[in-house]
Amino acid sequence: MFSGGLTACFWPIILVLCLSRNTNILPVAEAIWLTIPSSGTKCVSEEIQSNVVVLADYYVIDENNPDQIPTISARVTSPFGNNLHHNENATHGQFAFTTSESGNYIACFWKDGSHKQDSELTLGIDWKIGIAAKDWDSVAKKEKIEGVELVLRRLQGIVEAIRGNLVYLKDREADMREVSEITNARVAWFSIASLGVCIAVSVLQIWYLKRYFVKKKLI
Amino acid sequence: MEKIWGKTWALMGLLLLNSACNVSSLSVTVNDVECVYEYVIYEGDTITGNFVVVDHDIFWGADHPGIDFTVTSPGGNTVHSLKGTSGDKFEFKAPRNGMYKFCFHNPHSTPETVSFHIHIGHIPTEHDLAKDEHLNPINVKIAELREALESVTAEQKYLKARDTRHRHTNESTRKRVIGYAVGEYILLTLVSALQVIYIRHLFSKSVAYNRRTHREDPVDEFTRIMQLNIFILSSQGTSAVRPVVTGNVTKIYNILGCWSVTFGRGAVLSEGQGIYVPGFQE
Repeated sequence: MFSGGLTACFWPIILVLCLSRNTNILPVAEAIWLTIPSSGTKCVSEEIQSNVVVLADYYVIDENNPDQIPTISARVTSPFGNNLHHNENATHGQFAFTTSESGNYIACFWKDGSHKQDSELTLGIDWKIGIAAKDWDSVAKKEKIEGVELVLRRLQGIVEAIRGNLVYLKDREADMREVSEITNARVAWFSIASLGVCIAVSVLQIWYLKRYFVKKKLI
Repeated sequence: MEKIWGKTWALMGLLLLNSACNVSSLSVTVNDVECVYEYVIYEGDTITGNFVVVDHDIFWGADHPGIDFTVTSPGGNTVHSLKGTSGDKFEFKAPRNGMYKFCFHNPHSTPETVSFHIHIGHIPTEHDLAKDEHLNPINVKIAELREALESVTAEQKYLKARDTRHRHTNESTRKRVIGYAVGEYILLTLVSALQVIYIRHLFSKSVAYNRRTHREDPVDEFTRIMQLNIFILSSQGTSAVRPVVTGNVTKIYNILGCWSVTFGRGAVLSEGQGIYVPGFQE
């Protein structure tokens, strides 16, 4: 399905990418492509910790009619429900933000009502967080480094990001271990308490029934 | 000078190219089939990735069959496929360049959230080195180093997704423990209260069983009661003679060949032959 139409839509991709903020000269396909259903929304989400840079670009790909590209609407919500980015009737867009709280960040896309065709849209998303979102061109210009040194600086950035991820995973594992141990202790205590409740209730029963029968002159 | 500039541009180009094949780990909700497309530029590139089913209906989760994963090449062949798994890593070499399709299929009606990460890595080969004189072996080494670091990052993303799934299970267990324990206590108390109420009901006057036989000790009751009822049964099988009672008599009647006399304090019974059986207090 895509091999035939690919040559037709290849040049628009390059054009869009060249005109976008990244200004890559080489034809690069950085993004993943998703299909947006004709009705309903398509959402992608990611669980991100706080203080992380998120950079994303999205564009509609339609090889059938390049003159009239269908438009979509987009919305990005933070885990607390704040609206971080909202766009209507657009064929492409971008958003960038730094996360203030850790949680699930959701980006939703849906087809605009103006195009009532029953076809599915293809949307390309280029979603980068953390070290991948860093603008190395500006770093190269600012510090006047180039070539192998820039590459190695980049690799150092990646290594530092790996270490940061490791620390984060370790902290999360510690939290989860605590929850597990609390649950384990609770299971033990609640079982013993259940036995206690059983005994207490049966003693109450017997005491009440004895009092009742004595009152009714049965024993 | 020109050569250095050419090399640096080539390196930067290569750098950008390497950086281009990088996708963050996104989560998608799979209702039935969800497909993700990615374009592979060079033939022979290694495509690595992983996916984890993060948030599913954990009710009887232990025997959940998981989801299916298929990779389709631009030619339409299935390059890689995994069935019935709740998360796995994959790696394969792209047989040709073009648009690859990565599909998740959920055989069940409950929607599942899948977190996936796909990385396309390219290392320049000797053929590329020969073609482009600006590339030298250091680029190959840097590319290999880059790919190794990418594999560590990918592994970390996989661990993070699995940790998220584990966290959901833990939270669910914690809530279940508290819920079921409290529910159990309430149920126990309720059942025992019902038992007590039922036993009380069995001994109440409204139940017919209690009207006919009343096991009271007549000696204890005699001093307190106001009226006593006795049955006079015939000892010879015939109807007894009607007793004569003087004094405080409330009722006297014949029932099934027996005489039932209800009298108060101070009554005198005479001329009643038969077996005397204490009846009930009225």
